[in-house]
Amino acid sequence: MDKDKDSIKKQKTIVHRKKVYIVNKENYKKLDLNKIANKKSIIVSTKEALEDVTPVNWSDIVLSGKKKIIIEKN
Amino acid sequence: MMCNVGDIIVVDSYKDRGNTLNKHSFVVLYQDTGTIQGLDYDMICNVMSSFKNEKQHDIKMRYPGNFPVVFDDFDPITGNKLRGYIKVEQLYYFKKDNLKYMVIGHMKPDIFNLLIEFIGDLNVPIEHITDNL
Repeated sequence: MDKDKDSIKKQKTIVHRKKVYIVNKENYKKLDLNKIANKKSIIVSTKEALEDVTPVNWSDIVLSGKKKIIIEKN
Repeated sequence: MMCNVGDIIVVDSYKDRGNTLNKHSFVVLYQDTGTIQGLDYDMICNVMSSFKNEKQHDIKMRYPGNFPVVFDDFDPITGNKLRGYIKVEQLYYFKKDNLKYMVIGHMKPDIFNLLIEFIGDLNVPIEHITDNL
């Protein structure tokens, strides 16, 4: 019973693109390569893949290492 | 240099592949060794992109493979808070020994785990970028 309560405390409910996700908010989940292997896949070159990517224009304080970026769910 | 799953890295250079990857930012998704198409890798990443303008933001957010993110940093030119997205359908395979990069931050577990779930749910083709191996 206590184990279940502990598990629930570590979870967070997030709505993303109209779907509800329950995620662990303490530990990093491992990427499931088996799940990916079952999806439709194509091989793309780096050049082609980055064609419409706009590099993020980080500030000097980030690029100098003085400040670290933290991305969190608002 | 060491990095961990969830870290955000900026690539400085990649062996002898010119400037294609330079200054692009990635989130580290996976850090174990593996093989794809007979080639060894030890890291898999997603690339991060920013928006050129508000119109592009609206267009990009309609694509199911784009995962929006807000950064706790400011555009040095406009002074606006930096926003961007992660191209979740693209998986970049790397060998860390060949990559010169800098860790500039990380994603917290909750949003990283949401990203992982999102990849699992994707209904668009996964693009595997393996020419850096």
